[in-house]
Amino acid sequence: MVGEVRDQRWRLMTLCVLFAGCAALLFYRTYSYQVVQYQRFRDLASEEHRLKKEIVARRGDILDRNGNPLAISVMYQSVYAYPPAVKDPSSVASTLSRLVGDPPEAILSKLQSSSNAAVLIKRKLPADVSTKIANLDLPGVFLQSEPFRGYPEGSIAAQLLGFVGKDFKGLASLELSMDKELGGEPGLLDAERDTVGGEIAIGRRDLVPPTDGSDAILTIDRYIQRMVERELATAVKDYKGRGGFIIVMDPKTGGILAMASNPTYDLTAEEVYDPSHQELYKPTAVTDIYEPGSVMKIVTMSAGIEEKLITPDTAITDRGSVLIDGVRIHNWDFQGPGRETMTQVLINSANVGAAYVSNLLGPDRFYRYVDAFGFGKPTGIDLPGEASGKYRTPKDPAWTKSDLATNSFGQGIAVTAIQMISAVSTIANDGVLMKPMVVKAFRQGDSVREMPPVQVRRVISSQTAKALTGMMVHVVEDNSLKLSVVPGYKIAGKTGTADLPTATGYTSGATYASQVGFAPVEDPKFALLVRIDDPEKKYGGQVASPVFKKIAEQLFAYMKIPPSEPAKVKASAGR
Amino acid sequence: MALADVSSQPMALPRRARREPTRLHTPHFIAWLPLASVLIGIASLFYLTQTSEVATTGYSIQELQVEESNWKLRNEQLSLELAKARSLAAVEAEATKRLLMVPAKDVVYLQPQPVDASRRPAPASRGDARVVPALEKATVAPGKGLMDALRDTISGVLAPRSLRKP
Repeated sequence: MVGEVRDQRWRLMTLCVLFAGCAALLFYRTYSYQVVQYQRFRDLASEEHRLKKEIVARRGDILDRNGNPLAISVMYQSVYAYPPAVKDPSSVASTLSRLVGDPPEAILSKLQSSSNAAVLIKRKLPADVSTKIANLDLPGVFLQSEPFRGYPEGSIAAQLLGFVGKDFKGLASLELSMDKELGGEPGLLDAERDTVGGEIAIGRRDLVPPTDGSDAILTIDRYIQRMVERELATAVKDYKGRGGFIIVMDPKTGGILAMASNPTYDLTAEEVYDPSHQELYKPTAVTDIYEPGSVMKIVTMSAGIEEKLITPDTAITDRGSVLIDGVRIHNWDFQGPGRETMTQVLINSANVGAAYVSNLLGPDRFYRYVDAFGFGKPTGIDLPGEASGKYRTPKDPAWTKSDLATNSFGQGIAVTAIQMISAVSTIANDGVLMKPMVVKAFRQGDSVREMPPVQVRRVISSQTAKALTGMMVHVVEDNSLKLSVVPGYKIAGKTGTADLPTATGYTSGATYASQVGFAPVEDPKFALLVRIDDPEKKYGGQVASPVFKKIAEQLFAYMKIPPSEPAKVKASAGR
Repeated sequence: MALADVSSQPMALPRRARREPTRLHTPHFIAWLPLASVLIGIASLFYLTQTSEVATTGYSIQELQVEESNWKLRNEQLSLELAKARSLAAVEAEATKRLLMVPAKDVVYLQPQPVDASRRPAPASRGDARVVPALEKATVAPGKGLMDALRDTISGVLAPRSLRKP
């Protein structure tokens, strides 16, 4: 009897313990859900009916110096379909085909795909078409607004403007370097949603509006840009070149008026980015270096005149070659004109004369001027990937005295085209180097943030600049080719021909033919650099000068620059 | 007797019973209840109506916002079309294809020259006064004879009838 009672007690106790354990477990779970994981479940519940949407900021437009749009942001709607939700694919395909203009078979194959993800039917629908599709309310078919970049002027200044990716972020050139200003700040909508994902009108709603991107007003002029691109393409074709580029700069501000490269790419293509064409996407005038050739002689002469070692009339005896540190330096034509002044050295583009001046200067002074003109370091232009350029100085163990001589006429020194045009502009700008610039201002609504021109430094005195300008005028007018003379106008210029360097030396016969200059010399309005790569005719005077002349003529007319000698214009027109 | 006396006397009501106000006020309270219910009902109805109105207005706003964004979209697309129509390529195409214009090849620069005061006609009439400044502006070096002829023609046309030659 006592044993039975004890047995019952044990059972009761066990049961009690079991229940107590269960109760404790339940209590723990309740405590865990309600207290410990309170925030997590609250967030989960909140997320169930929460609508959190990023509101895309409008990307700023890119305009030319006169406010003409070069790249603008436009919203288009694209039509997508979610195949499992499409009830009658054939009928839907037929309906959409009539509206979007694609063949019904192509649309049907997309609608019948086994994909569980939405498929794109057609991008960039005109507004009237997208409205019609929206009104049809086709099951499984929906519209999505997407921003696109439109190019009203077509594909001009492609390598300067760059392009954006599908996420509307800049991928190249200005679109990349100005991405922060152009892109703006996206907004955020935090609201409550209904069962179909729509915003509940009377629900909670927190809206952080987006800050639209600023419009970038460039220093580029669309007319000049279009004209130089056309002239460059014609020149490359006519002279059977591999490519080239042309830069037009305002020497007083450093503003780039036009920058054209060839070959280039098409901004208006359906798919701009092609991995096999990556080389085309960079602004080569800024990213690529080259040996400038005889164009460099203007820097050498400037240094010599500024240091009062020479004057334009200083004469030397040029026998066609000179031996420097065991290396024989020849003139480009292997000719020795005999006695010649420094002006004639520039006219004849005599390497011996340039080497003579560099020898007078010595390495310290010569490289100080090379540095002062902006070579060997980035100019700071507002474009990505700018190269520094390259040359050896006496600090480099491999430097020799022959480097000094070859550098004086632009061999063994690598520069970017933007550095070269800036150096030429320095002479045009009375000896003051300006920082090259592409963006003139940013505009946000009615407020405009100007980007003032930046004066880097005075490189040479006004007198030296004038003396050199006079010498460069003689180069254009006294040269036997005279291919860049525009009757009635005074143009300062210098041609250059440099061999194409390779990994093992120089390619035989292939050259960079170039000409730099500015006009009108009385009050320079533009500096111009023309370079044609690997043309059939080799020399700058033969290839770049005629292009220089054509462009200068059109610039005079477009910029309404009156001739300094009208009589010559009439005489020329009469002929 | 004592009992009879007691019963014959008017029975004094207990103090508490005499002060029972609730029973006396009950009918008034009951009368207020329906009124309160009606008021609560009206208030609820008003609230519901308002909520419904807000919801309806909210959805209308959403629809209008969609419509607005559609118009904005159309506007942006039209802006692009307009910019394309104003582009240099479009202007050039219009000039060369529709207006059959050709690019200017030889640019001739005209140089203004000072007008000879002795040759200037006296501003005797309204017509002359209007012609002279225009001629000054138009005077160019080449073709001086042509300008003289033009001046005479314009003076003749614009001069008052009385001054015209028969």
